[in-house]
Amino acid sequence: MNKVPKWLLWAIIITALIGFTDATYLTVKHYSGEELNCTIFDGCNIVTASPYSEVFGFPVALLGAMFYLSVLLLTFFYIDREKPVILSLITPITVAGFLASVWFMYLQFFVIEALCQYCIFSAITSTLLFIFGLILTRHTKKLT
Amino acid sequence: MKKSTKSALLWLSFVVVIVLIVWGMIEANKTDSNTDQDDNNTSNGKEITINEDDWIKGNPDSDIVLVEYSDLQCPACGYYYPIVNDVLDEFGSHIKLVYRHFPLMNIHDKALMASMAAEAAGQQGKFFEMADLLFENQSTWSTMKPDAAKETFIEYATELELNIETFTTDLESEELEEKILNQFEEGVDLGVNATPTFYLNGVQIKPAGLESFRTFIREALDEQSA
Repeated sequence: MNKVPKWLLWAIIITALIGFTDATYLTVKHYSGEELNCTIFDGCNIVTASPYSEVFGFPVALLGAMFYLSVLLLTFFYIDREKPVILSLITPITVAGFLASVWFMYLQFFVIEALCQYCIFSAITSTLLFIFGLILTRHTKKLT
Repeated sequence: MKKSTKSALLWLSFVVVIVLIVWGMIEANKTDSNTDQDDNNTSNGKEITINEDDWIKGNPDSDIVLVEYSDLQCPACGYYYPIVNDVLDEFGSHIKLVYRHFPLMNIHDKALMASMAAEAAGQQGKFFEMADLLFENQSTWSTMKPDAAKETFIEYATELELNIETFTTDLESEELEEKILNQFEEGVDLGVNATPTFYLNGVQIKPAGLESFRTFIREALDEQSA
């Protein structure tokens, strides 16, 4: 019945957990107003203090945390119920997350001209989720 | 294992992991802020004195003093500038802002010239008006060649209805350049090594945005009234 390989589900869960940790850290920082420790690039505070760090009044970090949380929730739902339709919901979310990451990387490189290691890290995890999401569609097609 | 037990365990582990992550990150943030306070929140033990030629905004009689070391060509300063203006809109009657030049001349080729333009406008009573224009249009002039940037600064002076002849002369004034470089040196002595750097009542603060600025200033106001 469960045709989706176990490693893929684990890969999604672990990547989403890492992304969620990163985004939660940024969200906490956003609301506490503390400055970030920029160990790799010297620009994360410029990025997180820029007007682009909020979308319609929501901090981007919080939206990111919600994104990773929803991927996690759906994956757990699938493991629980084993209904393929749940999987078909994951892929579009990862596509949205990937597109958002491309946009925010563009902003960092060309508009804000400062890099934030935590944001780049999140771009990497959301890209991984996007790739896993694509692999997932191959399996869901077989299932439905 | 029964299916319902398995499912319950699955969701329990989910909730536990999420709660642990959120809690862990909140704790990590607390440790960060503690080390911050130990390391950097001093002005090298030196007192910041307000000079007669300082540019001041807000309430000049206030005891709560916010000193900003800034570079007109630095993008981060450009981001913070409107935030500082918002802070002044809100707390302007309670605090005094002192603007100091900290032109990072080796990475920003027009930083000194921009400071000169602001000072030259200041000679005609429009320092902050010029600083506003320079920060608002930073992306326009910071990529220009120095000569073109100078022309642009003169255009801003025209916009501010300054006497252009005096302004152009003042742009080359050695006296004004000395003032700017003195402020820079003073900043170096205090331990300024990045822009913008803020001192609130002599203690360095690192606000991450408007909300964080508000918190710092409210704390200072509370301390004063206590």
